[in-house]
Amino acid sequence: MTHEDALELAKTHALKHGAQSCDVLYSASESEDLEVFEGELSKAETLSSQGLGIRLFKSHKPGYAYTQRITKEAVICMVEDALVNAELTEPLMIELPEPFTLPEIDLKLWNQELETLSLESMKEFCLDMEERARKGHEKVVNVPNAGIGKGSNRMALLNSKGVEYRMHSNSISAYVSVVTQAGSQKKTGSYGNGGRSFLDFNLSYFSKAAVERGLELLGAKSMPSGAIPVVFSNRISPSIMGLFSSCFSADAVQKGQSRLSGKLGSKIADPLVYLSCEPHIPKRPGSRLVDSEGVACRPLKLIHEGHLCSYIYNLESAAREGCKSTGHGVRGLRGKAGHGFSNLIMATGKESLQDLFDRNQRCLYVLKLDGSAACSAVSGEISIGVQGWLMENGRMVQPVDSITLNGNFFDLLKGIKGVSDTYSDSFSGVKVPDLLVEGLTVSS
Amino acid sequence: MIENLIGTGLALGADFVDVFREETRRAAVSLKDQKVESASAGIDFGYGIRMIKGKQTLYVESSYEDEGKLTRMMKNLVATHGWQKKDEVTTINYLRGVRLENVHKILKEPAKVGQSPKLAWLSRLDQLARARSPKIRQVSASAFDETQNVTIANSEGLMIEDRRVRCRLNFNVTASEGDQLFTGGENPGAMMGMEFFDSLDLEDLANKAADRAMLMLNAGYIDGRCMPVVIGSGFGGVIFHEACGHPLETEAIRKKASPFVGKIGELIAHPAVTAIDDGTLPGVWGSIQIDDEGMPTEKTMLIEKGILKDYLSDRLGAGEVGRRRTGSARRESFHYVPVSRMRNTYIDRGDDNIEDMVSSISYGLYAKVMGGGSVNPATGEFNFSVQEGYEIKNGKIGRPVRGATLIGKGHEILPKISMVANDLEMAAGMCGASSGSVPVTVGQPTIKVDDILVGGR
Repeated sequence: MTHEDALELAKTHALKHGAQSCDVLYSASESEDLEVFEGELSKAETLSSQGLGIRLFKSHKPGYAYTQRITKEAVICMVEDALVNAELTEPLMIELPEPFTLPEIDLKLWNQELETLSLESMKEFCLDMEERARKGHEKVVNVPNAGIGKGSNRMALLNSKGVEYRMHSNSISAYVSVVTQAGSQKKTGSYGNGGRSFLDFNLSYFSKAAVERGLELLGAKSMPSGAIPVVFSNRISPSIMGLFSSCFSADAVQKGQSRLSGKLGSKIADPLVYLSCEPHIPKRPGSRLVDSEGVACRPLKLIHEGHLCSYIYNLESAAREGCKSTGHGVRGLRGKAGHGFSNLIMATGKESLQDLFDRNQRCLYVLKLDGSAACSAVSGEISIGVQGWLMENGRMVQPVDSITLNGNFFDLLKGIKGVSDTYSDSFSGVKVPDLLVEGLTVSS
Repeated sequence: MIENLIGTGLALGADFVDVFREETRRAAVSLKDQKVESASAGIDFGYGIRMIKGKQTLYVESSYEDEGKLTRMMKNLVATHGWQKKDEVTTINYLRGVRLENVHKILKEPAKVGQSPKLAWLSRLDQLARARSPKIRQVSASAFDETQNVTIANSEGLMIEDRRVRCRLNFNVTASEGDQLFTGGENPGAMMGMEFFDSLDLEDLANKAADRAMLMLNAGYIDGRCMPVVIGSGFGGVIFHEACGHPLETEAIRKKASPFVGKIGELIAHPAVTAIDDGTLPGVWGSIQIDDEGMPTEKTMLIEKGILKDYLSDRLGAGEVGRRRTGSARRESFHYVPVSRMRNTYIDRGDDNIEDMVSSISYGLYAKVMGGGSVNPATGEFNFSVQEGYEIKNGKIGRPVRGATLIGKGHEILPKISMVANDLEMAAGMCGASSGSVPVTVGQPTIKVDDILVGGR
């Protein structure tokens, strides 16, 4: 059966068998990926996959089910699973959204060029990228990972109120990692990026950036423990923000799992900090007009001049407070809706990266995070291995590793003393410039 | 259909073809804020077709059970790689209907029991944790079951079926005091049916998680620096898993992205260390019956008294590295090409005890319960969080400390494991790598590492 028939069957079968309302999601993906190792193609994959997921309400109680088999029997079985599951849950008093007129914004999430891009061209790019990386410097001893892939996704959402929304997107990405060696010390350097157009990819930059990153930390050694101003490179500042972003979720606030509870309108960060969701930026991975519950996505200020302006809401967390969803519902095929950002953007400042270095006689420039397991979005605790450069008088004096950086995210927000004027070039839904932060300590 | 797909792959020029057909039913109930928030169930279904020629792997994955579509995908993929088609393909005599006797006995089939018993278990956990202290502000818990039915066939005539049933409980509490919030969790799992949930001591789980979250509320910080560390039994084994286990997989060895390349037979660890990866343990979370290439699994000695004995090998890795296969090829689902992965990995029992370890340390850390972590296999650099830690001062366990991190290089830490106790315990986890997220068990007795960098304040 076609996916359109499956969507309609799921909806009508649910309503006919006791559901008062429902929404049904369909998702289909296709992709092609290649990997190269030591000058030869080592792996190529092609994917074609689809699935259907339903959320239905019976006596206001939600039930969820999904299937990757799209046959009449499987779809009916899915709905019946969801009806049984609805018997187990507590009532959830939400109203699914009514149809509305979409804003006329072209998000440019689909590029026909990628559909005609051949595997042969991708293979050539990948072989060339890997070779350039391998021959990029005498200290490059291995290129364990080099790959390229393109993918497309078609999504449809239907609900019992008449909402019908469809979107499709495609993208391409490539990556290369090198291992460099000096004496007995080895370092890795990686560069990966993505986008909506293969033509935008700069082949030489991929390998050059990976090699540079592999070389930049060779010779690193530890540094003394103690407090030191830290400049987070814009390569890794989005990761720091992403690690703790769940504290902005209304669900976490309502359930006592966010230290931002009760802080609306309060100063939670340095006045330099402006943070917002920007769902309508063309081509970005987090751009969308409608969230996965069928609610319109709009720009939203989270932090303005250091003050907390809003949390993010989906239908459930909004219903709990009697307010409207901010369009941050995220739901896969398999279960309940959570919260997610539609592009999380920290506004750039006016200073250059060099200006941030020059603000202190001595600082630590962090270029690499080594894991994040000891970072907790609930407590805000940060204890993380980092690598980078010790800076003195605005100049790089010594690469540094074997240290941990320690502090608390909620103190870090207040300790931001400089925001650069530049984002990294990454194809990402989280954009944060270089940050100068005071109040963190190094252990070694 | 499977035979036809294998025949197509061979005719297209592959030296070897295998097909992995999967139908997996997953079901979960989750509770939070004293409410059953979600009950879900569903079917994951699809085919993974792997064609190997020399060192090249071409892989087709699809949720469509449509021979014509799968065949077209195979042909399109091969077309761009210049393989020579074969005019004649040898007939394969499949040994059909093979199903090994399952050593992992399932007493209560999840599909027959249904999800409703999970409600009582989750509610009981919530009550027990909240009863522990008024400081327990939030409890979240979910009970999950999975039944994976697979058929694995290959061009060597293998045609085998397997059924993997697993259950897991994920349980987290949040404790608060003032504006301080800390979490504690327990996540047991087993290759068992729903009898797994009956076997759990819910009160013990609730108390452990709640006490850990509350302990951290008033914990201080350790003075971060290099120091001796005593690492607790059970999930402490995550360090060996990440820092040594991954670099011992032929997936890393064949890419020369491991410090253990070419080290078989060499002393790579302190003689106190014997380490094993065993897929055969009945009912244990990381166990398997056959691996995802259809090979019966085994117990693999990795390090014996400090000497490197073996790697973990899949078909491709074994061929390239020149080792035998160890029944270790694993994948999350048909979406992934199988590669060598760990199963139940642990440091074996030793002769020491925790009292002697602590008394030998003038200043150090007792990392009683480890959190998660990660490793860069190419360099061996690792980092791990300590979920429950205590300062060791003058040979005694002292005040609790929060937010500690352990960082270092796996191959440099192995020789520094100088004492190994006999209190071996295992703990369930999920391991992510190139073939997706698979269930694994980590384990160890309490061990002492003479010197490791501890991040603190």
